[in-house]
Amino acid sequence: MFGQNASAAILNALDKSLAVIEFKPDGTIITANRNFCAAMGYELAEIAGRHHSIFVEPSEAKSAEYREFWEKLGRGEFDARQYKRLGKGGKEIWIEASYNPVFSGQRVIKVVKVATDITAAKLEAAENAGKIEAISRAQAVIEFKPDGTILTANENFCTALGYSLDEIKGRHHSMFVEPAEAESSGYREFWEKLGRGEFVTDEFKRVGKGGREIYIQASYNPLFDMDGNVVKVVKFATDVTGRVHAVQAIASGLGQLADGDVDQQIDEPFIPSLEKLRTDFNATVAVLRDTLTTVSETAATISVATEEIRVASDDLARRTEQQAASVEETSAALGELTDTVRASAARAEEAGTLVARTKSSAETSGEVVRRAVTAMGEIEASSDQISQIIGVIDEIAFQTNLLALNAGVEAARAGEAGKGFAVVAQEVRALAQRSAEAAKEIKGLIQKSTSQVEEGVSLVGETGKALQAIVAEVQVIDENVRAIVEAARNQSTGLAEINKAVGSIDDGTQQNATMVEESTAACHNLAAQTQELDALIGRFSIARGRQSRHDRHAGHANFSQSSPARKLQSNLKQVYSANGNAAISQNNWENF
Amino acid sequence: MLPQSLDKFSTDLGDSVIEIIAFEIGGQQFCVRTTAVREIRGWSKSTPLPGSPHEIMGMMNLRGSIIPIVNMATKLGMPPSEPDARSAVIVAEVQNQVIGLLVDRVADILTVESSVVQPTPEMRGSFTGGHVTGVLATGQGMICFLDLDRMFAGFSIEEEAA
Repeated sequence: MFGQNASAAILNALDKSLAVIEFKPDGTIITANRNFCAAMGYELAEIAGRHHSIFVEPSEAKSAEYREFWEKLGRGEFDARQYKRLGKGGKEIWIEASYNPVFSGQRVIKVVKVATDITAAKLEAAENAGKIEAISRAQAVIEFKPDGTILTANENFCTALGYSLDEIKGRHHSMFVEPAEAESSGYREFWEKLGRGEFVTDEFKRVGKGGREIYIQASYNPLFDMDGNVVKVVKFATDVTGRVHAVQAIASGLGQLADGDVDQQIDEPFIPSLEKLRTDFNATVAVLRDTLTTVSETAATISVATEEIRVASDDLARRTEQQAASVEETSAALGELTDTVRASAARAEEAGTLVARTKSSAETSGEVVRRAVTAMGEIEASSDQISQIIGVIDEIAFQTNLLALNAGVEAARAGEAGKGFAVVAQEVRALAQRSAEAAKEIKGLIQKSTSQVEEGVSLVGETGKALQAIVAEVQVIDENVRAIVEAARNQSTGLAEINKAVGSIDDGTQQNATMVEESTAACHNLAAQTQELDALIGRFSIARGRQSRHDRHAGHANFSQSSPARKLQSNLKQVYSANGNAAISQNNWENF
Repeated sequence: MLPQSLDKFSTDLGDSVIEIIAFEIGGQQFCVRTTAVREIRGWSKSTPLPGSPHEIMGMMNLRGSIIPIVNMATKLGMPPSEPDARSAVIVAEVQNQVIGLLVDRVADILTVESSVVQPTPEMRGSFTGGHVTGVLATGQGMICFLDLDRMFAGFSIEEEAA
């Protein structure tokens, strides 16, 4: 059953998984399979016919051990172990191999080497060993039995706790903990937990030789046998005492800081790795101290400034009040002025009416005068006619007189015979004389009347001229009155503008008042906040005189008292609703 | 001469009443015998007579007869009268001559007692004395009695000469 074919199949199977190479007994390479070539990095053609020594370091190839190795194989003894070999380009390769001499009868005809590449495993093992060594160098390592009995400890451990290895070997781990803890159930559970195969990693407080406190960062690692039983516990520990002390110092510092102590400083140096933490902490505190000092000083400045603002605000409020009073007075004065202007405008209007009436009267009078003049002229004409008639009568009287005289003369010349006729002539003459006298009287009267009419005409003419002068003057008066009315209107316009302006001033004053109030309120808030700030800063222990600022705060209390601006505003509102808008109504002026 | 005139005057006054015409010249009253007067006329403009004495104002047509007009004021040595509508011309007959006498106004025809006429006061050297033969004192003032014959004594001769 196990014939030639079966052997070939086995070899074939091995050939697939293993690196196989065949040598002549002297070490010359006959052949190699693909696995081998791949592992060493060569092509088969490159190595066939060459000696195995190409796979070893030259120094080894020349060594007696290498010669002995091949002689041993030549004698038919196999060699199996881990070998270090060189691949193509000098690459280091670890192989688990066996060199198997193949006999033909009693003679070795070739050597078959079957190899597995163990370079990775080899390197890992080397690395692990290195790691453990490194851990051992860096850390304190101690090994216990599962019950806590000390098996061994490295030097770091011994140094950290101040013991020599002999002093602790065979003793129980509880010697490193405080007696109270050693008695506790927690400690017992700790070891039970390890005994169950659970590992524990934590920071622990331990007691060194002479009761010295030591802090360690440690991991207790149970090690198991093939059956999973805990055979021992390895503890890797790092002495973190310095770090813990540093952390405690920092914690205490921060605690003090929380209580407002910014005058503190950590003077004791930390471990070098944490020294920067200390200096940074100190720097931080210093910066904080400086900042708080600055803030405190700033707060003091703000406090002073707030006081000044308050005083200024009060001042402003007072002045705004005065301004409001002035505006009120102005408004009242404006009202009076407006009344006066209105009254004067009304007077001017009346005057204008009177002037117009006077003018029309004067004009009517002028007409009357003209008619009077005309009538006078007619009277004159009639007088003239009367005068003429009187002249005629006078003439007749004169002629009659002459005739009577002649009659008289004739009668006289007639002597005694003419005496009767003379009497008649005398009577006729008397009548004529009376007629003449009457005519003369009438003439005189007419002349007188004419002169009176003339006087009347001249008086009427003068009256006419006087009336014309009056009309002209009335015209001038009218113009003046118009000018006065115009001026009054302008005044009213001006007053309206002034009123508007006063309104604006009032608005401004009210806004000012509001702003003053806001400003005062803000000032009050500011003062309160400054106080608050000061109180906050007071919680920090800053070495400086703080008393003066508290004194200043006493002055801020009166912020809450009545703001002058507030009173003012209500006053203004009253004044303006009562007085301001009543000052001028533009309609009143449209009558002019 | 004076006694003669007085004598003549007295003979004239022998009638006891005399008729006179009183007139005004230059605001003064004069009179003449009514018998010496032909008629009285109103003033009408006279035609000047060139070369005549300055008291002759000119000529007037009296119903066909041309008569000279004498300005009595000038004749009496007073400022000449300016004739107007109320001036009168007394047409008198003197020494058979008809002449017109311009007077300012004829005042009246009076009948007076001859005793009322008083002689003119003696004023030596007075040239008017020759014309005024007496003075009548009346309530309205004095009236000078003129003797026309004496006033125009040489009138006819001048007229003849002319």
